[in-house]
Amino acid sequence: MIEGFDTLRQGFSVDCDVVVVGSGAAGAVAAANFAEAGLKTVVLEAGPAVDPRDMTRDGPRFLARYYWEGGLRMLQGSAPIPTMQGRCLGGSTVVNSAIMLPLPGWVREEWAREENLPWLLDPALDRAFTRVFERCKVGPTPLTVMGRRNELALEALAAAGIPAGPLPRAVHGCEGAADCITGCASGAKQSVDRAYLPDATRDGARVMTCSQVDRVLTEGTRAVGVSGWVTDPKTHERTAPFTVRAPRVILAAGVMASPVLLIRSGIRGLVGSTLYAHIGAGAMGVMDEVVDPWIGATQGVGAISADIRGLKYESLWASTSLIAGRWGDFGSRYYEQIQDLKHTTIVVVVYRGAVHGHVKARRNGLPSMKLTIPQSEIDVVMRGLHPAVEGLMKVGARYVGTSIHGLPKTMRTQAEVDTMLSGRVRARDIPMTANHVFGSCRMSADPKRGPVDPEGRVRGVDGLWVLDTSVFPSGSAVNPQATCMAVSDLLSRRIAELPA
Amino acid sequence: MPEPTDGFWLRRATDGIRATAEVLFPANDLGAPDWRGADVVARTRLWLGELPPESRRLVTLLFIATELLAPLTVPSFGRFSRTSPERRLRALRRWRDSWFVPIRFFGTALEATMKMIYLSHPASMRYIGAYKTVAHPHDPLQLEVRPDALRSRPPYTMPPVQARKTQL
Repeated sequence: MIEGFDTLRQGFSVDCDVVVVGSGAAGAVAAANFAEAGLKTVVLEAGPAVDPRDMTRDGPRFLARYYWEGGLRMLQGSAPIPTMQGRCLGGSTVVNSAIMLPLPGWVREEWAREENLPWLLDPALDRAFTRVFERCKVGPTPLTVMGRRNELALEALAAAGIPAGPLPRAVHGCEGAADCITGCASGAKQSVDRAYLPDATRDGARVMTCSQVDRVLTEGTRAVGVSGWVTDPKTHERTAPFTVRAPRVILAAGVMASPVLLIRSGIRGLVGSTLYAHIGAGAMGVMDEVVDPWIGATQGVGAISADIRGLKYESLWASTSLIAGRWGDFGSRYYEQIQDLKHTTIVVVVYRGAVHGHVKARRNGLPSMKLTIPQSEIDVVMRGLHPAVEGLMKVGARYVGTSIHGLPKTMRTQAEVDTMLSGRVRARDIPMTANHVFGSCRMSADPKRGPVDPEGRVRGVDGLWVLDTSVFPSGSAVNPQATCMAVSDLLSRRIAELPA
Repeated sequence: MPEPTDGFWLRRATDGIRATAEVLFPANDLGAPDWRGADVVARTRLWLGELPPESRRLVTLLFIATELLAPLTVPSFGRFSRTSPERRLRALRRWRDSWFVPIRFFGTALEATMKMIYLSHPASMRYIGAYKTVAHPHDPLQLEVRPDALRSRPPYTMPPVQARKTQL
């Protein structure tokens, strides 16, 4: 049963076997496993369910409704960097590009070695990945829904000597609407609100939306439930308090919200003391031919760099208003320049740099995040983007724009392209977003390195687990959704088997 | 436009929105909707109304600062909305391209916000030739739909790749 604001607005008090905070990649998978195991399960989601009738291609309005902080959440530190997370039933799986890549072997080995997590090398994790991929109908993006934008990105990468291919995504029957970021109105995307939560509710789970948790309830050293406020999805006002009591409390609220919940509940220690993110940059190539970038799979093609470990290339599109917010000049010239949008293709680089930061709780219950990006890592991003820009030029781009401050606004010559390697670009010069964030409640066998133990338990509090990407020891080097789901699948099955 | 029920600060924010929109999206003979045609002021207000309170305050502050404080960086003694369009345009360019990071961030935030609102109007999308393969019948932002646009394309063959040598 999925309950919305209208039925919950007066508040509620519920007892159950297990409460899951968050309905995204980690929470939905865990909830489905708990319900299947016969546990009386309650899922609490801060945002509303996304009714396809409410979906809009009006980017800013969709972000305002279904993203945390209206899509305006920022990381501070080396630069103000937007970081966007879904605040709706299904979490970010509803609003991302559905890319599903397994955790690279070298990252698994690194995490297992550095944090003493041998289960990461166990075939049980491979089986968890297989279960997740099957359930989400993961397959390579069909060439028939690429559209010219993805094809050109593929050709540009090939021309740069970077072998790219169709990205595996959790979609079934994609029609190439390029609407992933503002929700898939055609229902092709297998976000967890489609792939997992219906099974969870069929097995008896109660899913309560518009219910924002703000405390973990504890008695002595034991978690006994959570409390929070029912929140009006339109006005964002709190209408009534709620309490859910359960002997097992699962935090799957995401890298920002999970540590904030712990900190506000008086559970501190190393919580929030670490934060990692993928950084990157993008290039927009303007071709002679009409590309019509607004059709075709949102992110249909990609490549793992063979040159730079942890660097990945992807094609990209989103709502035009979001993708072209920095495009062109002002005034009359702007009108001429936006006519070029129909000729564009985009290649972005996503890089697992050696960045680090922290998450703190603000008084209003929102997170405050800081991320430090060493200059050496920005240089690597530029070295990674450079061949992609060269590739765009080789496949016939009239010019390439990166919107990076200090570089030529339009690059037309090799000399202009090479300015990317000048070493003068700083983090604050690059218009990047960091949507892949990790590690705010790091999992480690060493209590001095992480607040979460190898089974996902929060140290010092019985009956409390964290299962989202907060527990990743660092960046995953690929899109984190599949790993998040597989880890949650594996650990939640173990939690379900524990005696009551 | 400011509503009669708006308080002082919201009126100033609305003045800032209008003053910025006027110079970013001026009247033209290219067929592009101008700030009035794309209903930028009213739609920015609508968007502000949908934002969560903290974000709404932040963006409102951006426009209030544009209206009341920005003249400090422009050779002018009046509010931004009472400065000539030419001066406003120069100021917007200067902020966006500034080497002083806080000013640049202010300028790019202003630019991105206004362009985002402008480009999410059906008339702007029509002007740039945008269309979709899938209908979105309940969406207020209605775009042309060409269901066969992808299906009618010729079969695609993956390009051969000559892998590059290791760079690092």
